[in-house]
Amino acid sequence: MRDAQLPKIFVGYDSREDIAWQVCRHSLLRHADNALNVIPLRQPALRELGLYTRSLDTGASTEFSLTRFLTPYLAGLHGWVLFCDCDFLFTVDVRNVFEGLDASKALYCVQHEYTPAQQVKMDGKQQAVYPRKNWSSFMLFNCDHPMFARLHLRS
Amino acid sequence: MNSVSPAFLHRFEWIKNESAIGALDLDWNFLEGNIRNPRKRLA
Repeated sequence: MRDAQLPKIFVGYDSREDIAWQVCRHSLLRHADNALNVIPLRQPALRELGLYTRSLDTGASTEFSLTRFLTPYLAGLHGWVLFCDCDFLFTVDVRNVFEGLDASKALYCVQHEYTPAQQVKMDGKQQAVYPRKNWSSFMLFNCDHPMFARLHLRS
Repeated sequence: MNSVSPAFLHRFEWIKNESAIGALDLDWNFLEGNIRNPRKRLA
């Protein structure tokens, strides 16, 4: 049974990478005594709910390229919530990342200085290079931060 | 969120104040084979 008090982890889901999602979820739960809410972000479901209304983006490398930014809404704009890509493999208890956070931060992430080694990524898609590349693959949102009250699903 | 550019979202341009972005240890988002290894890691 899901406990609303458990830490929420939203994982980007891509139908071409179902096995990655399964491995990611398994690695999350096994290191955290199963005491997590691990929820896949599935684009078709988000479209059906009217939360994701963008046209299909053929340039996007995964189905969750942009749906990840809905994470604070899906968490009810309350508390700390984590998003990660489906290809994450957890080797430690993810609950540790929720410890010792500063409430003045809107978001935590790993701030890579990144230059990709490969120019082509998944399924032959061109590797894009831009500032803060990969920062958004693991984002810990502080939904109670006033900044999120100003963000809207539609402008 | 449904109308702004992908780059605006991915570059965190929606966070106006840079000091509102906290830094996590690299271990939380370690890119296998793509970035310099901060230290030797066991398999």
